[in-house]
Amino acid sequence: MVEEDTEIDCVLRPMNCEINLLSRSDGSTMFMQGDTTIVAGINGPMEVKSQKMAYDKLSIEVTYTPLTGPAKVDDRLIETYIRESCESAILVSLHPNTMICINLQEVQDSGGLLACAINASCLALINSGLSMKFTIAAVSCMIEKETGKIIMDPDNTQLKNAKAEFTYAFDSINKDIVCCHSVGRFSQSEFLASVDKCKQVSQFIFDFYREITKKYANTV
Amino acid sequence: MEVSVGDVVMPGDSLKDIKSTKKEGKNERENVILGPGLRREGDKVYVCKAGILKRRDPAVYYVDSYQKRYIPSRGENVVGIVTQKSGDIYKVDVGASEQATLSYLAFEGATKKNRPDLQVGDVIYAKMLVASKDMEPELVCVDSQGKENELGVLSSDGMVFTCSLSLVRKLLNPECPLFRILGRNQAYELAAGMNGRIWIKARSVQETIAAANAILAAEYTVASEMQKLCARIEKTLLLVT
Amino acid sequence: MREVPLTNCERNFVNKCIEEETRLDGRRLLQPRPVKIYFGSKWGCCMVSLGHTKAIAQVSCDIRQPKTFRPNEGTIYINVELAPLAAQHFESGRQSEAAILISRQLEKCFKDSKCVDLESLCIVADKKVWSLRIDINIINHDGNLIDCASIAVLAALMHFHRPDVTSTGEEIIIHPASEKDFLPLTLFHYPVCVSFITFENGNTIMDPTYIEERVGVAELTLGMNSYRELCSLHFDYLTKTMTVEDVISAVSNHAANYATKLVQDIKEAVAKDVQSRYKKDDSDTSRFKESIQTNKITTMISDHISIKLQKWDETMIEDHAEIENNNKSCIIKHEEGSAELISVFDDSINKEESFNSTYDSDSDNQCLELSNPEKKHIIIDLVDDSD
Repeated sequence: MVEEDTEIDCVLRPMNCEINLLSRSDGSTMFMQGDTTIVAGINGPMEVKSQKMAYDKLSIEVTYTPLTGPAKVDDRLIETYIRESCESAILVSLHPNTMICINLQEVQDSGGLLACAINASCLALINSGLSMKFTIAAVSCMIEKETGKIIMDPDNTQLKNAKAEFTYAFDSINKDIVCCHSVGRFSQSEFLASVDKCKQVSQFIFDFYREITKKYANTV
Repeated sequence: MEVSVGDVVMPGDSLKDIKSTKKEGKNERENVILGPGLRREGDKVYVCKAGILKRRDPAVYYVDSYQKRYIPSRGENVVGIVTQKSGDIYKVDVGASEQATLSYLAFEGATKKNRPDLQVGDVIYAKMLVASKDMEPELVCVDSQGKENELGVLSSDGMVFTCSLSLVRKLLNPECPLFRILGRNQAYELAAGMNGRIWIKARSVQETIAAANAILAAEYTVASEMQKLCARIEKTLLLVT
Repeated sequence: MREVPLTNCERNFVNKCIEEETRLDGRRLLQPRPVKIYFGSKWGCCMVSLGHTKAIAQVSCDIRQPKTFRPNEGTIYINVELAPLAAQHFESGRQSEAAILISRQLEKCFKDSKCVDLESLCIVADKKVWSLRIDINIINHDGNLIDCASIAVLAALMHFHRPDVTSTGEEIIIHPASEKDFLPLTLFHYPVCVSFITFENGNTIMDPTYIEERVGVAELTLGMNSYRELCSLHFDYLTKTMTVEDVISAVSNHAANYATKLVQDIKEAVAKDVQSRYKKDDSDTSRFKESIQTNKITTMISDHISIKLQKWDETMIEDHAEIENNNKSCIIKHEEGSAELISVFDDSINKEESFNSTYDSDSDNQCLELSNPEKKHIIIDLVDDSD
């Protein structure tokens, strides 16, 4: 139940990134949260095939390539999450009859892959200069089986004794939830507590976005 | 987050104190102009691109952002590639989502009988006449007086390379010293398109490559360092030639 | 999305450059681009960059039934993926002609040259063998995909370790890493591909970039191993021309020298990484981070971020000001909230709770001088009681 102290500590894995990594993409990034690594590239707005054309908005195509083998159901799920959350962030009405491709390549998975993928695609979108309503930041957390403690940004070894795993994405204006994904069993209060924690942590990811932009914006 | 002029802004930030300067002797206030990267929603002004918020008098606000993909905008000069001849028009690739059209008659002195001689794969320097999100972009190679005015076909002796749109904007800024410094010791001819394509022609192959590399290196160089950059390139050139 | 058309300017200029024996990136005609290899934390995972061309390879294995005509040999499958990430004109989904061509060339170079000891991958003849799968994902296309892919495959194969198995007649046991160390693959020789492009004027260059590939008229790929043996050969005219003369004999010597040096470099890189893994207790060392240079303007390296979080509280929604006062008021708040929530319960519990809370406030006052954790401890106990 509720603990009455007001502050607790949590440690996020180190975030590393290199933007503008790929010469052939309009916006690209390699984003690492701990050892979990994703390479993301954006192409567009560009010509769209007629069957996918939307006359009033930009259509978004997401391709996620896993490290081994062809794309599986889980990978399609990641694609859907990213498409839906990016569609809410991008000003889609500005570029009708066109499309953008968000291409993601898994490089390494050590926990929190979905969160890392969403953050990488957002950073790539920022780098591509596409007009967006807001930026999005995804945070993953888990509930430990024995203690019921909420652990932020867990890695693979921590995830082994997880009761439930959550991934939330928030927008940068109101910190509303854009995307929510959960695995496992949990109670309502655990759910609300994890939302609140992730919401606070998301600010650090938004700060990270701003820092990296700050670093290159003044010279470019 | 609220931001003001000169800050590094992110999409979703809102602008603080947008003011238009009141000119003396005039009663009505001047309009505030929101440039690229800004949008209005109700009373608030939101940022929609990541970059630096800038202001220009009287009250023009815009975000200077990094971008590689061209989105056509009216009145800009671009470097395009002719991809197709069909009927009365050429199709030109400008790097945008759609190919632009260029009429046979949009050249200096062109008539129905006297057609310009353009081949597929030729590079042209042209001005955006029509650019709207719902319409096919249209190019012209003449100004309103019907004069060519440095627009038109670019000679196929030169070299075309691509760079980011922000680099072109940086180079074309009158305060940028790069072209001036480069031109001091070597002759070159250059056409920079706002679509991130630059056509360049110098006396020799080596000089062209050197100048092109100097331009690309300018991407991550601040204006004060450009002198050094050019000196280094001239030095290597002298060693090579 | 179609490919950006090649302009006459570029074609003329590149041809002129090659004629004058200079290249756009300042290399000599037969000079390759620098190669960088980074290994992931899993066995057999690596990222290779050849100039701007980048590829990621991952070797994986599972147990299958062998092919009937080779009952005591394992199998290798090589898959090259040209996703739209590499270049916008590639389509996702079905394999393109270019991807099949690269796959086939790699198969010729690695599978058909029998560089992997397939017999050692046999567990039970005719029943169970290891089947290796190598996935190569190209993430940036700046020409010469085949060389980059072949370096990635070789590095991944040399780096890969498979689990050990013991066969006890009927059953086979696959040992996890904690029981028995993983075993590396046996490679008989180490082939790599070296590519050349010939231009209209007859000059041949090594390791072409994307634009050079588009302008060139004939391509040649030699699969060479470190013993200067030829493992595969691919020659193709890109456009109809008769200008290309005997390229193979002109460049093969140079290719062999380069292949020897390259294989040496790859070996060193692999050995360095494998040894550092053996030394450490946990083998989870990812080196992808090293690919991010610290001093570049477009990169950002951060450390672990420690955060002090505001504790989430159900009552926070009701009132913020009260909570900030002190711990005592929180308890009261909590009690109010729980009273509402479990109103169907006996009144006695509520009474007990209120008693508890008053008691708690007392104890709180008592231990005000004590350190914080203890205080917290007491409170938690109380809350547990009330449950």
